[in-house]
Amino acid sequence: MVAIGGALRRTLFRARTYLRLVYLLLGAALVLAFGIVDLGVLGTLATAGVSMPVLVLLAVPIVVIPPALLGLVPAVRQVESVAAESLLGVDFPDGPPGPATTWPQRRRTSVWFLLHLLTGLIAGVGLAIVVPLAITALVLPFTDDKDGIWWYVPAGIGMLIATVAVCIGLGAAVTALAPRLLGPSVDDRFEALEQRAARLSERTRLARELHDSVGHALSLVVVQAGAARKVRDTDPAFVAAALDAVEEAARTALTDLDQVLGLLRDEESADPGEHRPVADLRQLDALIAATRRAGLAVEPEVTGDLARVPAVVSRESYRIVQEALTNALRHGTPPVTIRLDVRATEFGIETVNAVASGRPSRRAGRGLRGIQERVAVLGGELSAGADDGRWRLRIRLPLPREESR
Amino acid sequence: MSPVRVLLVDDEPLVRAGLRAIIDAEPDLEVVGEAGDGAEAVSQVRATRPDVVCMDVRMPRVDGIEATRLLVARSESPRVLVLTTFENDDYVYDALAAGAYGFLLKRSAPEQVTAAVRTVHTGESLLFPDAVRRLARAHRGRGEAERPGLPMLTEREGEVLRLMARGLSNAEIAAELVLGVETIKSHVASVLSKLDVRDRTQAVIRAYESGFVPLR
Repeated sequence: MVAIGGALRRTLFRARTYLRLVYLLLGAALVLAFGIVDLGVLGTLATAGVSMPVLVLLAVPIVVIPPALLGLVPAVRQVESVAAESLLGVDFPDGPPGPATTWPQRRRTSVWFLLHLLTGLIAGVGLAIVVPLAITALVLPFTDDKDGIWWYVPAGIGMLIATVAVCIGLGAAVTALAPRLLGPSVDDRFEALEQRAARLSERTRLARELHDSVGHALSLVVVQAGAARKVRDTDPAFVAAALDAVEEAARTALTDLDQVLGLLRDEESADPGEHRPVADLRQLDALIAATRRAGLAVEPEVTGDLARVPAVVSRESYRIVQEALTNALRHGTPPVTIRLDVRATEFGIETVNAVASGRPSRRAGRGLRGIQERVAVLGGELSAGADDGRWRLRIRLPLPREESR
Repeated sequence: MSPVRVLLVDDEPLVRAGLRAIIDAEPDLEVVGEAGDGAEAVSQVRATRPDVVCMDVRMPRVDGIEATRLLVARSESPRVLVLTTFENDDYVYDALAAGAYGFLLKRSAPEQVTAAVRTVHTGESLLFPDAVRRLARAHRGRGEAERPGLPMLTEREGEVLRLMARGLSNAEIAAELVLGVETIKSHVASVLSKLDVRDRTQAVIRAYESGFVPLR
């Protein structure tokens, strides 16, 4: 008894209990709104001469269907989730869910919405009807001379306790149900896990490639440096060549390191938390201006709305263009033409420039690798090659369809 | 004595050039050819008849493992020294299992490179016994089902095999067991023939895989 009393006291003196009551009363307010409409409709039908049994039959769909339909609206999931978190105190592990994106989510939200109205109705009836009744019952024996109504007092107390208990119970029940109906379903979780796994395996692949390319370069550096030390006094020409090779290999390795770390970092900053502005296609004009200042004539041609390109693709595309311009600056002959083409389901990037004759294409090939990695991460296609003395790089990146975004 | 003939196989020309400078600087070693992949390596072996092949593992087209398998399948084949960037590379053990005599990290100092080539050439001791044991341990359990048992070795042969696994040369084993070097040589020859393997490295790998020498 003491334990129950203690628990009751703790429950009654907790702010959460009353916040939950607020949530239930919100449901009651909604019931009131729907109820006014329902009464109007039923009243109209009654005056139109619809018989009582038919009216009773019609009442159920007339009452249930409108809120059920409203519950299917995607935004309801977000509104209800935020309310459930702040008022009911539901702890969604990944934060309150956003608007519904799939039909199962919409259906579950609809069920939840009906549940919210039903519990609101019960709580509303309790507070608006039972509580005044109880107060009347408590007061009446002291103000009325009638005999034999002393039992009104315990009955009133009983009604008050019952109302409080029902409200607390309903609050606890909806709180327990919220994660199941509003939170991510098994399918949602599975999908999130798959996405996470794909991201992780992508990171692992990038890390392994980094490991391989840097390992390769450092081995080369060690072998060449060791050999140079060994023949220092006998073969000065070899030593000079070795120094060149060491410089080149170390530089390439650092470039690779930089690029891959950049890709990994981009993924990290896609998570909330550390926010650093990352350049995307909105900064394209500045990039082109800077490239021109560096002495490369650039002719951009943009078709379609660049603002339609999703942020991730935009960032990676900026880097791709940047890399392509750097390559052109190193190996090509101006001018460089850049064509960006935003279509319904794909984004095309094309760069064309003349190739300086007699230059080896080996280093250009290395610069291309960074671009290739970005394209691969985005699931795009790349073709590059020289034709007719012109170097042409063509990239196609898939874009999500507009309605699914 | 004529110099040890070395063939360099690596897809990176600059690594080959560096190794060539290191090896050619030694009077007792001589680079007789280079190859850029495993297929070229096989034809170069035929053309240049090297004693030792320094073989990169990861190469385009025919890789070092496949080339090693092709080379050791022939009689009169050279010994293969596998070159690797990382010791923790699955390919290294695969190459040893395919018949390579030993492996060498590309980051080794020039003195270690030349020492490794000489060790592989003489075949008198196991190259980097600790690393071989680590690799065998890391690959324990692969193909456990068909784990081959060892044929009956005499007690003396067993002792010799265990000391071989520790990387001891014939002379060192002789000192350890207080026996003559010639006696040890005949024990080693007998172990190799009973295990049906070409060299000490293969014998030691068999010893680890069969559990005859515990991997600790």
